[in-house]
Amino acid sequence: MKDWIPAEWLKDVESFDLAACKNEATGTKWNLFLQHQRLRKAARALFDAGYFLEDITGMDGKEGIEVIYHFNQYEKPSRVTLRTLIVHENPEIPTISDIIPAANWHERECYDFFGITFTGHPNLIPLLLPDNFGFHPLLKKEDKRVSLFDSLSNCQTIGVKVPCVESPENPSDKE
Amino acid sequence: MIPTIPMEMLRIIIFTVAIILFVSVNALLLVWLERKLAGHFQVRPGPFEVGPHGLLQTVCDGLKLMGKQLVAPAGADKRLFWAAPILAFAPAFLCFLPIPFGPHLLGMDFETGVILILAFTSLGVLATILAGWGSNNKFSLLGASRAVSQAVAYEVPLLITVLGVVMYSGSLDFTSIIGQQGSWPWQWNVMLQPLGFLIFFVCSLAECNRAPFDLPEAESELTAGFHTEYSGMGFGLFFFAEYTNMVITSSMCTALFLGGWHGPFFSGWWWFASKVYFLIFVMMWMRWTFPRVRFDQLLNLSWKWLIPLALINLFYVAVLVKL
Amino acid sequence: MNFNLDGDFYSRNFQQGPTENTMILNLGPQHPSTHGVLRVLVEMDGEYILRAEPVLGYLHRMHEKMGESKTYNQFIPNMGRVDYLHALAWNWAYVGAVEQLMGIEVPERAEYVRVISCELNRIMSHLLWWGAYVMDLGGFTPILYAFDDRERAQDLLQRITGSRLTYSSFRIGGVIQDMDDIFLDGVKAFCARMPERLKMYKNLVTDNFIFRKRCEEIGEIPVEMARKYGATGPVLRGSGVAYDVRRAEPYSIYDRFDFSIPTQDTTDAMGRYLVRLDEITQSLAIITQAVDQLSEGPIRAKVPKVIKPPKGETYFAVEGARGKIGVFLVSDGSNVPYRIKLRSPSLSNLSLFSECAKGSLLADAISILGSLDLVIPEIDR
Repeated sequence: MKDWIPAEWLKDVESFDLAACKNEATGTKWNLFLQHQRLRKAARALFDAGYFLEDITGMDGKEGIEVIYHFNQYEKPSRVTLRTLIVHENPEIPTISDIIPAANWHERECYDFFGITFTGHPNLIPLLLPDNFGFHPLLKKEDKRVSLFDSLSNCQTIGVKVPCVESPENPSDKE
Repeated sequence: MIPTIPMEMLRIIIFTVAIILFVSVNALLLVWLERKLAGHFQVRPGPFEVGPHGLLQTVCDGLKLMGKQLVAPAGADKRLFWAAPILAFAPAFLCFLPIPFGPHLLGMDFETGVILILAFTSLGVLATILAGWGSNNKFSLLGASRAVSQAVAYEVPLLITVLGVVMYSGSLDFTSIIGQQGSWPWQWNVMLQPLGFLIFFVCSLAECNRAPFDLPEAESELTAGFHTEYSGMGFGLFFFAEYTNMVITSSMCTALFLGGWHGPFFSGWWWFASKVYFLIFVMMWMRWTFPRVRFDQLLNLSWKWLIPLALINLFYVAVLVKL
Repeated sequence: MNFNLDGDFYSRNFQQGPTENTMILNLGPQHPSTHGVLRVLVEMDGEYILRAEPVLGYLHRMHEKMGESKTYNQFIPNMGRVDYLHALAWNWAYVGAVEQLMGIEVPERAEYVRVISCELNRIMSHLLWWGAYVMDLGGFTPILYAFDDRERAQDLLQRITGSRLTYSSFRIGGVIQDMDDIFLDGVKAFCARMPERLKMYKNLVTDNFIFRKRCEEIGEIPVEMARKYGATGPVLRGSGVAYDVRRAEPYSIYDRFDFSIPTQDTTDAMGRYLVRLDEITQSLAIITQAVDQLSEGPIRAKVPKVIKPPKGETYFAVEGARGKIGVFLVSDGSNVPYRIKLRSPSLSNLSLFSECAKGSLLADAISILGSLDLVIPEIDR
């Protein structure tokens, strides 16, 4: 598997799925599909390799809520996107705000908009919405959700298919 | 039968009434002038609509301020809160008494007029503290605490430079200090003590809380500093006091350094007035040109530069007197 | 009367338990130097700041949700209202994302119109910032000088965009209106006038002793801190990194122009100040070159009446006056976007404020806030 790892910094982050994208159509060079327990490792590897966090956002779809981390770097600009999937029933994901302080506010924003709980976040209170808002505006209705695979039509999957992680405890179901 | 009123008493009463009139009209005029000047410094005409060239604008604003409801914030110490603006304004009146505007145009001939003014002007900071503490507002409190350290820091060099003039002329009486200066600019104290004049002017800016030393009311940091919570005439009195203090410090500066009513050709009150208004113009000019200094820079300037320089000036004057 | 002395949710969260010898101060949401409705909670020891935390959301309008319920064309006016000072950059980020997703080729003349109007808009934004920043430091006059110049640029832009502040003149595949000779003459006159004015600004403000003392060695942001918080734009370039989206991820026709990316190594507020002033000069250079290179042609590409991009996603970034503006757009093939994420540079730039202001004086914190060039609607979106 290691022969298609695109860069040095990823060799510590094992077992992820990768999609190469048409940069001119998507603005993204690499899409990395990660399981939750790999996320922090990947973020640290990217950060140590000189990347900075552009933003963190979510996308609600049929398979679950996809959490998307956009990274870029100053010297050789190329966007690397980390993607993880969480289920609607249990929107929980480990925080990366202790690794990259920039994530702090972006994670709070995702908590506002999608109700994603970032475990280990030091100050997970609403950022933009009032504290008693009650619902998460960017979650879509059941019938409005589309498949998350649709958004990757311009990308070519390398290695295995996009995983749908139902439970983070079971890393073997990435087929 | 008409009881005999002592001449001196009558003179003081007349002069007090005249001062009240003068101070009110003067404050209105200065506010107008400041806004007009600010306008021209900022490539715009300034007030223009009410009266010729907006002359009546400040009268309207004064009426508006008087018509406003007086609101004291909940949780404020009402007595201190309302005492403050009065205390800011009242001493300003008294300060006019010993200032000689012309050879015979003065309220009361004190032998220690200089000390009287210095004593009364330092009451102003008390008003600032009361306003800051009484408002029960954190911004006001910060402004007041700044005002105290600023007043302490700047009164010292101010006093030392005044001392220089007093030493030279050997009198605490304004009339005799002015009397010793001649009608031509090279006969004025400013030529003998230029350093003293500069220090005095800088300190008087700080004493009046004028920019670039307007830290107690630093708008961008403390919203309005010690008078954040004042509305209507409460604010109006602080405003009046500020402009009156400008006149007083400029008058002092004129009397001590610029030869008072003396002037080339026709000595008289018009020379005094024109010098005072010129100094006020410079103060306004500086306000609309310079950014504000930071608080620690302000104190450093006083303790590390102005006070040593003022002492050097004093030493220089002592040598001068001895020679 | 009943007063809730505990404060609201955020101040309770900020102040957990009683404080000892410190004071919690609430700057904003209405405060003269927060330029809008930013709120910063600070814990102070005397005049020194021990802890600062910005509270956002007072101008939150949920543009991202609005985007999901409007068609692609209907969403363009929203973009003029995200960052009201550099509205055209947001226009461009959104329009560019849609074009990238659909593969639309924008006609050359339209690209030039976009470059010229966007750079004019950038100059206007920097001018307003310049005036407002000096005002934060207590100098009242410069902002009116800046407005004099800004007004001229606004008059020009009004001619080709139809509005003066919240521009929404970019369309998918082009722009709304072509430039005429009056506009081009005006632009030339503006470009000729500005260098003189910038020289005056330098004499008036930049060289002022008091001003320098308020900026130099204040709010130092080392490169590492900037990267940790994802800072971009002049904030990053003031720390010495020559990162500009116009060069890093060249979009449109920016590769045809000869301009430099101003940087300063001092990393302080003065560095950011000088970078912005230099950027005005560079934008003027770009405009001058663009006017010279101009050729005739259409200003709108042929696009379908109903915009229906193919299924897919895209990320398009442009360089705004405050930094990297990004639009992450996901289409499900229908006529409304499935998801729009707006990456605002001010949000990232502001997030480093807590760390940067720690231990500084209150007056310095105001100076730092000003030097970050915040536009609150952009932060809150």
